[in-house]
Amino acid sequence: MKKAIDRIKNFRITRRVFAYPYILFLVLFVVVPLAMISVNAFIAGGKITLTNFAEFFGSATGLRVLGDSILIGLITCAICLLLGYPVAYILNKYSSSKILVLLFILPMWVNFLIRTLATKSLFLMLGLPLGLGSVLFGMVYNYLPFMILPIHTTLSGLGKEYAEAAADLGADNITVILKTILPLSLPGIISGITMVFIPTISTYAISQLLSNGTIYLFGDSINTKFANGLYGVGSVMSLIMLVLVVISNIFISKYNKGNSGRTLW
Amino acid sequence: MKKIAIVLLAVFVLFSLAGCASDGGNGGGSPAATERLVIYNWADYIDEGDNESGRPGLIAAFEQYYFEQTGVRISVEYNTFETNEEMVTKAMVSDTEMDLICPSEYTIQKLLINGMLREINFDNIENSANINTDILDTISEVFGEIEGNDGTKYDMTKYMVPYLWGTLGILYNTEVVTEEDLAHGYGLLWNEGNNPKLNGKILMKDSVRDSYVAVVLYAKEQGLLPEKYDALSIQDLINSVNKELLAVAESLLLKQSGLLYGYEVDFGRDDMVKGNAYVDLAWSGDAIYAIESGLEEDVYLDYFVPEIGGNIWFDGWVIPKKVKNLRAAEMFINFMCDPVNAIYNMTYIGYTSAVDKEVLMENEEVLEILEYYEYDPEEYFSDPIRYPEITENMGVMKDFGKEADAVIMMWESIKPYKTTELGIILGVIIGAVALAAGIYFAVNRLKMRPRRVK
Repeated sequence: MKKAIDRIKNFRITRRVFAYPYILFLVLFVVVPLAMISVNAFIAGGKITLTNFAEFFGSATGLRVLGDSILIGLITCAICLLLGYPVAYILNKYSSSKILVLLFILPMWVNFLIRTLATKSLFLMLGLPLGLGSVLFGMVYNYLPFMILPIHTTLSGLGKEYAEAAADLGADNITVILKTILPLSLPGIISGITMVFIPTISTYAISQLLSNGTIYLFGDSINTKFANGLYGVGSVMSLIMLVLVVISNIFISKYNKGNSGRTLW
Repeated sequence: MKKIAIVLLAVFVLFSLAGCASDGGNGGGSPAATERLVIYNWADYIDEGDNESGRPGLIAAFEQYYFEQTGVRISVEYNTFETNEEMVTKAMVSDTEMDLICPSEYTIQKLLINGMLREINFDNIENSANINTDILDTISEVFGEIEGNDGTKYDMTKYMVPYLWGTLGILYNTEVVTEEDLAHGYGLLWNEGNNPKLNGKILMKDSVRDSYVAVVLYAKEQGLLPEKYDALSIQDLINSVNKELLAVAESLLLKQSGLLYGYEVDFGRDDMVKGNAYVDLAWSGDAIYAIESGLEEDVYLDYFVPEIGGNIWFDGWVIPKKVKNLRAAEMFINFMCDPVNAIYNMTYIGYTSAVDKEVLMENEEVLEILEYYEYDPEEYFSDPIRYPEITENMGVMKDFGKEADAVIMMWESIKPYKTTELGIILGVIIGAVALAAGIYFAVNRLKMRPRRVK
């Protein structure tokens, strides 16, 4: 009792105190839901079992949806990288890049739902069919900035000396890019890929809106499971997403080691 | 130190000012609401008022009515859901606060089986006398005595007050769909008439139960069901689930997926009015709404329930046992059963009120409202889409019980994309990159070789 009173008396506003609200937020909205998902995944019919896992991995549908999502994720990633890397490289070359960067970030300030609905209207106006094409377009459009920015950040921290040194040693332009800049910007690329890949797999609004529900991704499936009260299987699928996130994080940290913890964002 | 004090003071003043402003903004100084009513209803399922005449929507009107009746301010927390299944999950699994829900009959059955509903005291809902008794009779006849999980027997009509009702049918564009297409009944959704204009222009409901009705009746039309199902009535057929039927349904739905514009629950009528799609599995109320809005856009739509039969449904207000504001919930139901409010709903959303049409036709104010919205009352009340006949061929849905999960699994299994196409795209991208890299390195090596020799 006395100890508690002492503690209250000795309470001072230190720097640490300002972190408490966020820690509370973190516990309530990140740790607790994670714990609930992990518990739910192992409960079926009031008993602790592995039936939920068996149900998911035993059904061809679930695995096919996961396969589709990973494929769409990979395709989106590849397109984003092919489009984004040159953009990030060019942004870095010119002094007016700040305005250009702003132009690329600008669409991100518009709510993604509005952006997606606008994309849909655009496709309808142009008379293009909604389907795989429109979904890929929507995904690339939505996630391209997440690819450009990490690469841009890495490139801008690179310093011109590397390129100049390579050129001095007789490398032509393409060799400079391929042998110096590309390997050095690898952490940015890896970071960009994970920033794009993981959200694309779990998207459900974009795929649903831009394909009129004909393209059904992992996120849609999780949504269906939870909406219909199949909490167990839904939790297993969420755990799978979590595993993918963890894997990608291991991937990032592995490639970032050489970079002595420099932040990419 | 002094600086910090000044900053703190400034912040304090700002906050107190903001507080004043928000107090003043709350309905022109009226006292804050002291009661709450939490309602769960379908999206687009209530009158939202009239901007031209400045008439408020029924929710706001109810808040005013409640204040006049009781002297207590109430704020209605109005939530919407898109499918019955979504609503049941909210009601059953999580402990969401709700005073009043408006599910369909088969979902009410499920809620009753789980013992979640409270018996309604009709003495407090005088206007329930206005309800069309045919609806109540049909419900009694179909569901009879419902046995709950704990053995209690329920009579559904004592637990629900019907709100809106209608049929499930097909909404189509009269300029594209031909007589011959229509002759195929549910086959229209599968483009049985091979009308080239319909490919990729057909909309299906993203709601398992409704799509199941369509697919099973289509199978019956085409004679694709095993013989033993021939003797079943429409009512029994749309409520039968087993592996055999699910397999038939799955193969037919898979076949259909290539013809579709998409799956929808809420944007179908807009796509029909805009001419993005030509055929839509639709509920009668949405159909009426779409047909009326189509006229303004010069898009001509019509609706029919195929000859073989179909689904007739009734949505009703039920009060869950966990109700917190019973008085307000009862008053709200009563308010919605008022003929005038019923006609506001009908003219706004297109669905048919469960209030008896005789009661509506005799009400002067109702006739005036119809006239205001330029309807001919006689035509309005004799419209067969709005007031369909409750015949033998129209089946009512019942809870699937334990089979419900199997149906959801079947529904999901038709959704995955044709993986091969994706694989090809990915393959092309990877191939292109690999090829470019390969050519580059090959060329590079050729260039490098002489230098190394030196």
